[in-house]
Amino acid sequence: MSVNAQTFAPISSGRKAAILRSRRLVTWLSYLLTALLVALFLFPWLWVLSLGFKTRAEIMSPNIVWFWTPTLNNYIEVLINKGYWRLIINSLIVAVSAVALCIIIGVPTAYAFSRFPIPGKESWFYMILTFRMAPAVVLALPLYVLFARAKLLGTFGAPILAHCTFTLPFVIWLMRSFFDDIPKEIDAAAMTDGYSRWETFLYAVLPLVKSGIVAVALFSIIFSWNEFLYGLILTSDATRPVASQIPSLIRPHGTLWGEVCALATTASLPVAFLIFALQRQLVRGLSFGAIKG
Amino acid sequence: MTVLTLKNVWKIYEGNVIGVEDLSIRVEDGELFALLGPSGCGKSSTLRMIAGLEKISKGELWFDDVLVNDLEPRERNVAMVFENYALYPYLSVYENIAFPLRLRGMSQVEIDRKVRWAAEFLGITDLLPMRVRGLSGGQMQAVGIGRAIVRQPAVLLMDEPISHLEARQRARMREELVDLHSQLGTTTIYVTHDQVEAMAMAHRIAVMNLGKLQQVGTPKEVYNQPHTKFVGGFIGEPPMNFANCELSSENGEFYVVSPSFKVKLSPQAAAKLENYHGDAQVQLGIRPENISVSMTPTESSFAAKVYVTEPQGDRTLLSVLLDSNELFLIEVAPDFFAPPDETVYLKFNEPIHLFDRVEEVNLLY
Repeated sequence: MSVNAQTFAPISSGRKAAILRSRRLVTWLSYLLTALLVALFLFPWLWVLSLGFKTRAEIMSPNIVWFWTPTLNNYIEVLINKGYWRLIINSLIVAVSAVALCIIIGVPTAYAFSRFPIPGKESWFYMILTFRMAPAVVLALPLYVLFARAKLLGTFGAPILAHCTFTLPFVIWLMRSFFDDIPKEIDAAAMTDGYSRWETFLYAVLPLVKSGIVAVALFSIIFSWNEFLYGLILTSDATRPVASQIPSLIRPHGTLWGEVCALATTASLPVAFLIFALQRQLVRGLSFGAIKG
Repeated sequence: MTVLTLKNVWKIYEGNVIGVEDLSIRVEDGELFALLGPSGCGKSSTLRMIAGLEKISKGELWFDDVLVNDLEPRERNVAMVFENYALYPYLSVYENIAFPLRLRGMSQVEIDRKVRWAAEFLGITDLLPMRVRGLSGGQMQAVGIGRAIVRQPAVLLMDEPISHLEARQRARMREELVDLHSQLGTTTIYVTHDQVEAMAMAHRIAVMNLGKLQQVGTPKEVYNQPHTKFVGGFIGEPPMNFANCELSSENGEFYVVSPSFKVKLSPQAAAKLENYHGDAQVQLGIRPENISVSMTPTESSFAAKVYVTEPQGDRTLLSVLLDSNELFLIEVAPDFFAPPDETVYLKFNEPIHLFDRVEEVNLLY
């Protein structure tokens, strides 16, 4: 290998300035790109937010109204007069129950997939994954008939169980990869140290996948919260989640855009808050593989 | 203190894959017993069956006079040390060592006394308050050993405990483990793929291959009297040399004949072969240190061509090509040198081993 004498030569001041300039350029470009991306994602949301505070005339005006006096009428009308605030509670009941159920069933299942020699294990695993891939519409009709027979239609049970069809495979699939990352020797150590198989799972292994569980649960809640189809067809007015109720604001004499946007804004707040609150757990959970050991 | 007995133990995995085949071993009280073999030989399965982490498919496992086949790991009072340490990452060093004691519901005072005893024993008292994440491999393994010995188990199981460490540290840990065992006197089973470790540390070694027990014996026995070709080739570094040859007898004398050499067997070896009725096609095995080399022909020597000379400082390794195109490795004096393709003359010294070519068992033991 030959060493180029220039490698060690001091950098001229002109060159130094050029390097600094190009570095600054890269920094600015990356800021610009980030800003563009944020704007791209934020724009629709801000648009919805702003419409919620406009009157019907301002919304329908052929020219975009940039400055206006915000009104709370849409919020009052849709949340209080129409009583849709209850739908937020419905969504909460459905999402939290569905996710709790899926975590309680899915996490031990994932552990079993990770640790036990189940005959035909991988085939079973992919079968479960396939459920996640099926479009919701495929299951909608069978579920409707099934729940009708079981007298679950119109109860909270219907959307909760229906949401499990896509949340449970997701939980099992992700949690298995978290468990796979934990060395099996941890189990062996805990069992020889004095735990039973169940205690090993609960007290020795679960604490290691805590942030994984939080991340998976959070995603599942978002899926469930945003789910539309099952919420619409399997529920009654009393149990309908908020996302599925929005079409009811499309009336024969026109869509109540102000109320749609007010409701949509209100509906996205709990999830946004949740993500914000659990941000750090989320990142830790998602980068789990990188920090194992 | 525990005597451990395996009686005709089998491990059969799903799809009729045999992990361990009809294994019978008796490990004496206080013995440091090594299970040695290449990966996939069944040594780890055996260890996991002893720990209770895997079901025994067939056969019996006894701790003294208790049949433990159906006992859970925690009911067997075994402790295990792992290759990858398997410490609880969310606990401190202190809590890792205290862990098995806490599960036994010991009082805080008692726990503290024992943890400090174990830490002092292993020289890791300074580490006690630290988190395990930042420790070096050697320190982590010391913690792993601390966790295992703190509750004075009936049987101590070590699964390649020092394989992850770097060479220099491994050599020191070997000595420390031997010292630790001699002070504790706990019946210990030590799984390793490294014959140097097994030879250096164990009282007795069980050599396994492909799920089958090849031989149990002291390091000297498995080295000097390998029962199978596998044991002969696996134990010893550089490894034993093998050559295909044929048995013949002339005037009551036994000879081993190959295209390259004709060697007369010693009367003792000949006596062992009197009753041999198998195939005359055998394999000769001879260790690198049992071949003498000279530059000129001597009595009962034969010619070979130098392939490579490898000086190692304390000795030189000479590889030669026989007429039969078999490569032999020979240990010679450190100042020996011969250029490639030079003809040298070899002479076999006792012990010579003869292996059946099909069964691969040693015909002389």
